[in-house]
Formats: sequence, structure tokens, C-alpha cells
Amino acid sequence: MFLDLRKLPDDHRIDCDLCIIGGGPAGIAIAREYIGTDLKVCLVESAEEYDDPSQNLYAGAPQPSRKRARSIRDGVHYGALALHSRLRHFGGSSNHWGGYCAPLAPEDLAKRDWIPDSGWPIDWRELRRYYPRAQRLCELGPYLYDDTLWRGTDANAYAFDTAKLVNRFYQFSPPTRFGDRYGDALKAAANVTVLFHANATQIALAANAASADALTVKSLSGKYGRIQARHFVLACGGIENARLLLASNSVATAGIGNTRDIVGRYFMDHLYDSVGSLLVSERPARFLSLYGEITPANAGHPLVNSRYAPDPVMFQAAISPSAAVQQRNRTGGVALFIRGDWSRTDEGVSAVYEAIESDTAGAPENQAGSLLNILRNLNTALPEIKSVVQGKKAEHLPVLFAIAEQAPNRLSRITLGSEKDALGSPRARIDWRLSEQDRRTFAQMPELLAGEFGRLGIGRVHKAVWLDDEAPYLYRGDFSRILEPGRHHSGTTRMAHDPARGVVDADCQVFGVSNLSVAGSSVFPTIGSANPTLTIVALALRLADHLKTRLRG
Amino acid sequence: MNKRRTFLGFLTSAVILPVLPARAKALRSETPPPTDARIRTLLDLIPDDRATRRLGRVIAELPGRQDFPAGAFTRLFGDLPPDGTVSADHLRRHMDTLSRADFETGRTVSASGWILARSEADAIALATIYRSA
Repeated sequence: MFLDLRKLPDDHRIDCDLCIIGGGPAGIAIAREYIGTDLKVCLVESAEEYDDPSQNLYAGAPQPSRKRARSIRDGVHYGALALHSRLRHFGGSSNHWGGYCAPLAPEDLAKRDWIPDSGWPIDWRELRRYYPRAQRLCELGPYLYDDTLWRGTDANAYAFDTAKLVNRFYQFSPPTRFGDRYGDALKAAANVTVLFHANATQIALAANAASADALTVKSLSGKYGRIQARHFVLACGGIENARLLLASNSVATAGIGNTRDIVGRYFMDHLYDSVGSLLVSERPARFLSLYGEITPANAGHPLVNSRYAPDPVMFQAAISPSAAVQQRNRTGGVALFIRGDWSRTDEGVSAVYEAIESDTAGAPENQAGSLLNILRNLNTALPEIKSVVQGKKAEHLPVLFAIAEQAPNRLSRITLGSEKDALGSPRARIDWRLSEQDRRTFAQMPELLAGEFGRLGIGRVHKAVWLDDEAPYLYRGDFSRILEPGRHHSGTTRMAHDPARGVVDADCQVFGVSNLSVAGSSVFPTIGSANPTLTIVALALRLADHLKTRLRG
Repeated sequence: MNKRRTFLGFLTSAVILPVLPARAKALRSETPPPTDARIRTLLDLIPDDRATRRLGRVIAELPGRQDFPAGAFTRLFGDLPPDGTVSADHLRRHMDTLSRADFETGRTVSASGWILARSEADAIALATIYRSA
């Protein structure tokens, strides 16, 4: 059933077996698992639909000044936390989700000696067990993430030397808006209550701080409520999970689960930027759309595999450095897409493609990618490259767009600001720190791509200016011009075997608090390069199974 | 004809010296004259436009390429006969093979943002300084 805190008596109290704080993909995935069971569940959420006052509860405290920043290690401005970054209404950030889905790779979870604080406390095979169920919740096709995805289509992928580069595959959710898609089922469930306008402000611990007693919720209209549960799951997102733990400091003065000063630390995100441009030497539609964006120009061809009708699988490939290359270069993972609008045929490089095709028609296949075709196009390409360098959109030249893994960084963190929101809770303050290793994760790509694109006769790479060793001075004090965050907030309640190294254990339970668990990307110890939603849902399903056994036991 | 060639050679040095003095001197002493059939074919193949010339000048002046131009010439043409039998198609295929092998083994050159195979960087730079002559 759906309830509205604003319409309930003041100090309304709900008793349940499981209280889920947050109605995004993780919270809804868990709640769904309990529909029709003998367990009573209460899911608390802010607004049912988008509204500005509720969304404004997400606004952050002022970020540290970057005026004296001399390198990315000194911090990068993150952008407004209440705008574009996340959504505070039923369905959470799935309401503006683009639908990119891919599982993490085994090496993403592994302990990597060259990535500080890497290594998940669970094995990839354990996570893998939950991906197929997560696929169904995200309305994807079968759990396929290899070249079988395009069997039966006329797509093909580049035959990279897999010691250097590998193809990674993505499927696309419609995208599933979790509130819209699963709200009716939750509303109809007799044992599930979804309480709207119930903004969690405080988790009350028992006097010995070893368990959670109750959750305090408030509406913006001034109503209070109290949820008492046998178990609580915090599922508010990578920033709010830390914020609520830190703000719940009436018993544990440093915040819940924070005796080791880890809550809020290790804030990670995906780093987005172009690593260069590609001057192709063959007609691009032949292969490149497999690595590109889904646009009206190429929708339905060749990125949809109808073999799985009536639900054809939408898919795409990305290019990643192999695990061996990451180890050799001591870098993180990257997913690289080749972006551009292939539909333009009126001028510029598109016209060049036409020239190449006519010039090489009848020429031996192995000459299609020769230097001579590239040189012939240099004059045409240069204005486009200049646009890319100046941060403008290139109209025709394919851009090598990378999504890079940020390495865990203890200095990168969420804390509480002195400013308060409309409910009197301290606002989250973000201090986003990167490292030289993060820059190298990007910087490894142009050479790798140039080598394989050159060997395969695909084209030549023009490296982005910001990756030149001497380039950072160009951007001194304004690193936000270089890097865009993916807004995949992660790592702030990281999972670990040991309370000295994390906030939650391998079962996502907060160390030292017997009945409080955390769901969402805040538990990721490392972020990999894949978009996080599928893994968030898989981990949520794993937690739901675990708690079901526990609550019944 | 020989006098004309000598005169052109002299003119070559005079024009190129202010721009690429060391390279021009080396070009004159270490590589065949522009009338060599292999060079003529190379010049036929490499486009003669502003962007290519600019890129060629940058490559020729890159640090760490002390063996240029003699080393570049040898790498590009060492396996080819000097007797004028090198056709454009032959040279095109030869360069394609060389550049793919360079990319495979990581022999690349970065110039003006472009990441090129060493052999193709050699070809562009050689063509540029021969043309400057």
C-alpha cells in the first residue's frame, strides 16, 4: 500500500520486519522480493513524483575552494549535487537513467597490487549468480555479454589483439523507471508499505550502539514519523547513505559505523572525457556504430538483435584495455566509445569518406587503411580537431570518448557541511580528489588505440591535448574543464573483510551494528568501468536473499 | 642536365638551410638526390598540402631522431631496388606493410597530436624536406 506521511497523524509509528530507506533501484529491488511473503516491509521515500522542494534537500554544502589547485590531486569541482546528479523521488535516479548496463569484470573485483585499497571481499562468481535476475528487473535480454550478442546481425567488432585491447559489451534497458515499472506491484502488496514524503533524518541506535532501534522521518510540511523494524536497509545512494550515517550521531558521536573514520571517504565516480579523435580510413558505418551512440540515425541497425524477439536485445560494444595492460601500466579500467553522428553526409569529413570510398574502390583490401588515405584528409580534419581541442563539439570527426575508473582515494570524501537543509539536517559537502594514476588511466588509451587502429588499418588517432605530459598547466585551477563526473556516486560505505578497511562486511552489514545494512554503489570498494546500475540491482537482490533467510531464522 | 641538377642541389640547400639546417645538411650528404626513382615515387604518393608539410616539419625536428634522414631512408627503402623499378603501387603496399608492423610492435611517433607509425612519420618527413628543397 502507499501512504503519505503528510496525511497521517503526527508522530505516526510503523512497526515492521524490514525498513528500507530509499526507493531507487536498490530499495525497490529489495522490496519487490518480499511481496507476498510473511514479512512486513516498509519502504520510506521522499516525494512520489518530482517536486523542487524535495529535490532541494539534495543540495550540497559549498565545495572547497579550488583557486590554489595545482594538480588534480588538489581536487576537482564536482558540480551541483541537487542538479542533474541524482533524483529524490520514487524510482530515484532511475528516473533519468540512460539505461547502460554491463556487469563488472572479474578483474574489477580483484585485488590489484597497483590500485590502492582495491579488492572486493566477495568473489566475482558470487556476484555473477545475481546478474541474470538483475537483468530481468532492468528489462534486459538474456545474460549475454560476448560476441554472441550480434550473431544474426550484420554487425561485427574489430579483431583486436586481446593482449592489448578487448571488446566489452553493453545491453540497454528501455530504460526501466523503477518507480513507474514496479510501483503498482508494491502498492497492491498487502505486506509492503511505501511511505511517501518521509524523509529519513536520523537512525536511532540502541544505547550500546550495537543495533538500530528506529528511523525518524519528517515531511516538509512538518509531520514526524517513526519506523521501528527488526532490520534496516539504507538504500539512498552513494552520497546520502554516507550523509545519513554521519548525521545519525546522537549515540555514536562520529556517526554510525564510523569509529574508523571511513564513512564518506573513498568517494569515487567514473571520469568522462575525450582522449582524442579518430581519422578513419574507411566508411564508418561498416563497424564504428557498434562502438557508438544509439542515435535515430542508426537505431535498429545494427545495434538491435531481433533474434531475441519479441524483446530484441539492444546492445553496443566498448573498447577496454586488457587486464594485462592495466597491470603493466598500473592503471584502472576504461570503457571507450567512438562517438559521432554518422548520418551527416553533406560536408567535412563525411565528404572525405565518400572520396575515400571512390578512391579505394577496386584497390586491394589492405590499402583501405593506408597512411595515404589518412594524409589526404588531414587538411579537412584539422578544423575539426581544433574544435575538439577548444572543447567544442566536433560535427564530423569521430571522438574517442572514455569512461575511466577512478581509483579509491581516501582523501576523496563526503562530509557534513555546517549548512542545514529545510528539515534541519546538515548538507553533504563533497571534496572530490583524483590522482595522477587516474590521469594515467586515461593517458594510456591513445597509444593503445593508435597501435591497434593502425595495425588493423582502421585509421589514425589524434591525442587530446590535455593528455600531453606538459598540458595540465593549461588548465591550472580549472580542472572541471577537463573531467566530467559520470555521477555514479560510489565507495562511501565501502565493503571489506575488516572494519579497519571498510564500513560494511561482505554481506553489506554495517560493522558493529547488527541490524543495519547498506545497499547501492556506496558499498563498491572499486568502481570498474561499467555503468553501475546492473551491479547495484544484483547486490540488492543478494542482500534481499540474505536478509530473508536471516529474518525468518 | 648535370649542371642543372647541381644547381638545383645548391638551391635546395640554400632554401632549406634557414629552416632545417642540420637536417638539410644531412639530407645532402647522407641520402640520394631527389632524382632517385624511389624518392620520386615517394613524392608522387605523399600529398603536397599545407597540413602534411607542417606535420613533416614537426617530425623532422623531433628530438631523439638523430639518425634522420639517413636512418629514415634506409628503413623505408632499404629493401627496395634503387634502379627505378619501384612502382607507386609497390611503394604503397610496402609502406602499408611497414606501418602495420610498426603499430604492432609499438614503434610509433607522436607529432602535433598524431600518433603515427615510425615508417609513415619517416615518409612524411622525408617528403617534406625533399620538397622544401
